Amino acid sequence: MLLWVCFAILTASVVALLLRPLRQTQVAVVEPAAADLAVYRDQLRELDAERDRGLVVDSEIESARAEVARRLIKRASGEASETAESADDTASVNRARRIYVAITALLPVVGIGLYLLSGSPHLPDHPFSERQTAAGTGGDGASSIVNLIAQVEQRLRDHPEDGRGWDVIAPIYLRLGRYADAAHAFAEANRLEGETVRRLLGFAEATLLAENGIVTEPVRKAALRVLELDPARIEVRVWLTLAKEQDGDLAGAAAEYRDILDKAPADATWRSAVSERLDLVNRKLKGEKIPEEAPAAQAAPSAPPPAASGEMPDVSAMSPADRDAFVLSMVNRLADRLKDNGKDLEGWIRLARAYKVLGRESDALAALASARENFAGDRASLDEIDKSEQNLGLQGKKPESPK
Amino acid sequence: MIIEIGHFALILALLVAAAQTFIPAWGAAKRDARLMAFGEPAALSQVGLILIAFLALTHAYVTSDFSVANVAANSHSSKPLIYRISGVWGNHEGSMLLWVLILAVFGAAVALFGNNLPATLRANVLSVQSSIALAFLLFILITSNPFERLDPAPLDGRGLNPILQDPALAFHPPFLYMGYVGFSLAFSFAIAALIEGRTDAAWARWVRPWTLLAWMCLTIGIAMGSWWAYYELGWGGWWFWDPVENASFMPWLAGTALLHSALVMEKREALKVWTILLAILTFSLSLMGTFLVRSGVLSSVHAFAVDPGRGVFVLSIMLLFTGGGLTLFAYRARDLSQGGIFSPISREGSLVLNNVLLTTACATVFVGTLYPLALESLTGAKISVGPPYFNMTFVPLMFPLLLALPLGPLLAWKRADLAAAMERLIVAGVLALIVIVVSFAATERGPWLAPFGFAIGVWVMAGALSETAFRIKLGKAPLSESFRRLVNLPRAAVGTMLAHFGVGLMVCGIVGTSAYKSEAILLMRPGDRTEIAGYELAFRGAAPSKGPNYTETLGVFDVTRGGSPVTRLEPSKRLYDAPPQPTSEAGIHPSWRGDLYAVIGDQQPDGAFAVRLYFHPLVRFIWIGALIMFFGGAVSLSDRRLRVGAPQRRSSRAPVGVPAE
Amino acid sequence: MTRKQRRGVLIGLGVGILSIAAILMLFAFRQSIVFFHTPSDVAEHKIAPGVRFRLGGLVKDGSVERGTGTRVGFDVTDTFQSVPVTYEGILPDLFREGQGVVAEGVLGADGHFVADTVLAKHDETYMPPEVAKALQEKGVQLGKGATHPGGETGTQ
Repeated sequence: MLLWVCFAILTASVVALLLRPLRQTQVAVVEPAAADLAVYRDQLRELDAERDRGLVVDSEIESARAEVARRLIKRASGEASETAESADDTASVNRARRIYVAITALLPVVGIGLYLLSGSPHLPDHPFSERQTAAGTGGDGASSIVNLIAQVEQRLRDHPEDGRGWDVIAPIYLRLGRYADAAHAFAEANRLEGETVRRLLGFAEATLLAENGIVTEPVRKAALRVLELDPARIEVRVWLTLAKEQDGDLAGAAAEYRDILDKAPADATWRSAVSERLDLVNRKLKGEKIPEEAPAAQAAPSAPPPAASGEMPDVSAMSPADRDAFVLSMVNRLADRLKDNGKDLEGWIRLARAYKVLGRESDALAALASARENFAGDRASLDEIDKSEQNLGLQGKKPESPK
Repeated sequence: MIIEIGHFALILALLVAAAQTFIPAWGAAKRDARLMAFGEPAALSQVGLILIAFLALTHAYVTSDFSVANVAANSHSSKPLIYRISGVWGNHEGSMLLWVLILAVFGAAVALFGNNLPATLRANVLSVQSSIALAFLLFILITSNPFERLDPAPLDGRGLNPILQDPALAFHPPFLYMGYVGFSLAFSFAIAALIEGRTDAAWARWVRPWTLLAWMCLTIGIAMGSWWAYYELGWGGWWFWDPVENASFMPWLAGTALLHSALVMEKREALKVWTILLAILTFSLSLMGTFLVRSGVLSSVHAFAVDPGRGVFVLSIMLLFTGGGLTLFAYRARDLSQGGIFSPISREGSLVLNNVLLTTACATVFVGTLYPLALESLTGAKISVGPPYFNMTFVPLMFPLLLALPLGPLLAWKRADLAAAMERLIVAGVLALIVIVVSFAATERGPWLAPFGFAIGVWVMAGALSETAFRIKLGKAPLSESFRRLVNLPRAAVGTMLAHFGVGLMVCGIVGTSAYKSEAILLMRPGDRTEIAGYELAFRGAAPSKGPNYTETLGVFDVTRGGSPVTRLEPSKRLYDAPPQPTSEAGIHPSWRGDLYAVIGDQQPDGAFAVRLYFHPLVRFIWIGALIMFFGGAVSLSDRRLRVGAPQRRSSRAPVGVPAE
Repeated sequence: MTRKQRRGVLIGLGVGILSIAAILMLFAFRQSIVFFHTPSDVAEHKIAPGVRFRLGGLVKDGSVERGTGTRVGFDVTDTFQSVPVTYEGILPDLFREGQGVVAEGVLGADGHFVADTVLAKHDETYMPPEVAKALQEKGVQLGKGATHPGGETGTQ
């Protein structure tokens, strides 16, 4: 509302200003001849002043004076013929008034019309400081994330060698879609905190997304490094193969894809993406023309195999089916890890909670049972397990297939 | 809300400009005083509205309002305040807004201070000026609206290109635009004169102050840009014959010619047709400068957006005004009456030579800048025309111009005695000869032409001083008499002397730095020493450091000369936060003798740093010369002669404004 | 002198200076025009060694090698062909692998391009227009949604 009041005031003042000549009873007019004569008189005065100061040779002054005087006389004699037609007949006054009124009436109408076409009257101002205060006083979630990021960024500006900070912010950047920043942060974290599979994967994914799905040299190197650290991570080979494909080696890529599919665990969620990709490559090999919009051409490179993602892929952007698959793969990974190393109380409880959320109560109970086995004799831990069993509402239920 | 008010104000400005384009001109044609009078309030409200729009955008930048698309694309919350403000015109949309703001300010200045102009001329000038504003406001609102909003607003902006985050560059565009746009008034006056079919000495007198003001701003704007390139781009060069530099240089050359031809027109009513043509061409070159920069057809630091739609729009504006102006010129020029006559050896003759040389030089720059574009659009071959071309065409044309420059002001109008004028320059000539001998003796290296270059610079400077000495009868009359004459000297004469002296100083700077520059590129490890141009530099090492929105590697060099410490140079390599982009900051030690200039490069695998060292002799004189030229213009502008007394006004006795009710 | 003669002198002066300028321009053009070529042009046209030209393209990933002193070697590629380049001096700030670059110099007899000037792009979103254009003509798409040519044409 206030906005429209401001618009009205603005328009009204412009109109008032524009109508000023109409309100004046007399309009001052400078006749061309009068203006010219003023200039020539000025020139004569200057010449006189110069002569008085003795700056110019007299003969020069005289010829200049004569010339200006000639102009003056010529102009003055022509004056009568050039006088503007008098503007005081009523017809011309009425015409002027009509034009003025038409313009001032059109101004607000056309102005508002054009504004409604292009403006955004419903949007308030959104200054940065306001957002920060909103976040500080417990504003909406997005703002507090902004605030958090701003704080970490500030800290990193002051302490660029803080690897932990980079490590914290990298997955957040990735999630926010700031891929270039994420890649940079992962790279810094790798450099300062040492390379881990998680960070390398994060780096590779962020870079890949930042480069619009093109497997660049840094991505390739990161993938190779992951394989060095953990040869079981067969899924990073998808990226390497993608690079091969993008380099034009279609036959080689197809063979690689087949090999990956052979070696991949049967339950790997990214299997379908790889086989789709393989299919596409095979079609290309046969010489079929793949339209540029083919979803696989874009989607596969820019959305790398979910299981290969770091810990923070953009879950919210996935389709429900993909999301479930992704969660499942996370849970499976956790379960595998706990099988190898059972001394992780937190992990067991998280696993149980995850199974509960997925509606697999028996698995949840089984997880808790395994936890009890692993922590047999540790009073505090067993209490903790009992408590979470209560919290999850699993108390008194029996596992269907106890171990 | 503020930003929306700005948007609305800009739309109102467009409508007011449209009305102002037609009504005063119509009034002038009908000789209707009341319609002509519309120009004044319209010009004032136009400038007020555009100012509101500009301030609204500035407010959005200062408060980092990222719901404005333009702010989000070009600013960042971590940017220091001054660069948030200069960021307003550090991008395409904002800079165009600044462009029309300045255009409107010049229009309003005519409305306010043009009381001495004939009513019809003033009405026509305001209409033409407003038609330019109309075209550019349409351009802004249709193709590059700075008030577009984003919903939801992004979390933070994308940041301003770090090489543009610099104090000199913050104020380079406003001055440059004041220069470009200032010539719009010369154009408007020329078109108005053609519409009325009448030009005379008075016309030239009205146009001159505006042209002078535009020329001053353009001079200082170009100098700032060159200074920025010198210390920021890290190559140590001050002029690259880069197409965008040329785009601002061409209007300067044409504007300088216009300044001189308008003088002839005012004093002698000669060169009328030529002056009108020059006024049209100068502004056309300014428009072309805008087109070349905006359309992105050129590869340059300055090219903002590569957007063919915008390029086509600006190209049409340029063709409309240039083509329209030249057509009108062709149609009406023969109606303009013949002017005064003069002999080839005269003040007029010397100014004609000045004009011919300046416009020819402008033409060579024009060909060198546009030939690659023309060739590419015709044959598809991609070429670039480098500095050698300009050195071979532009520089030789400057030699006769500079040689003749001191003579001009000493020649009388109409018919002059060349021998007498030469006689008054004997001192300057002798000085120039001494300079040749001394510089040959003092320098072992450098091109053989360089001493002559110095001599020309000294000749111009000494010639400018000689002219003043002659005028105040220095040495011919008692000192007290000379002093009295000096005080009484018209300011325009002092301004001329200063501007010409500045040219000479600049020539010396250009010759010195081009001919005797020393340069070294080497690898240095902490503790290494090296020597350049008599300075010894010890590299102390490089350490990381951080600024408000960047981190940097700061190298430290201790400089000594003949064993005594001189200074400490701290060149750095910066990495800005947003956008993450590296820049080099040169370490410069200025002195009268020249600048010691150091740039630090990448660290090599073995720990050494690549280091570039330069010594630029006399380089400061280039910018000091430009500054003196600027002040010369300012002194001249303050002369009473350029302010003409207001003529008597005739009032129409119309009984208007009494409503019928 | 009559008015006509005076005008004759002025016009003569103008024409004289203009023709001198024209001769200078022709002469200067012959010496200082530098053509722009892509690595594919170099491979196809067989540009004669010793002719100055500008070579534009992308710096090939993984090709930058620092030699002794400030000597640097890298490959410029348009993704189809690449040309090895050597350069002595400090590279521009924005010189990076995978980014657009323009090098000016001459082609050696051994197919090595010896550059004396290297220009990199000037900001994050800017690529020298001739490079962008040349790459686009070759079917390399740049910017958002860009796809690697190998992924699309695939048959080579």
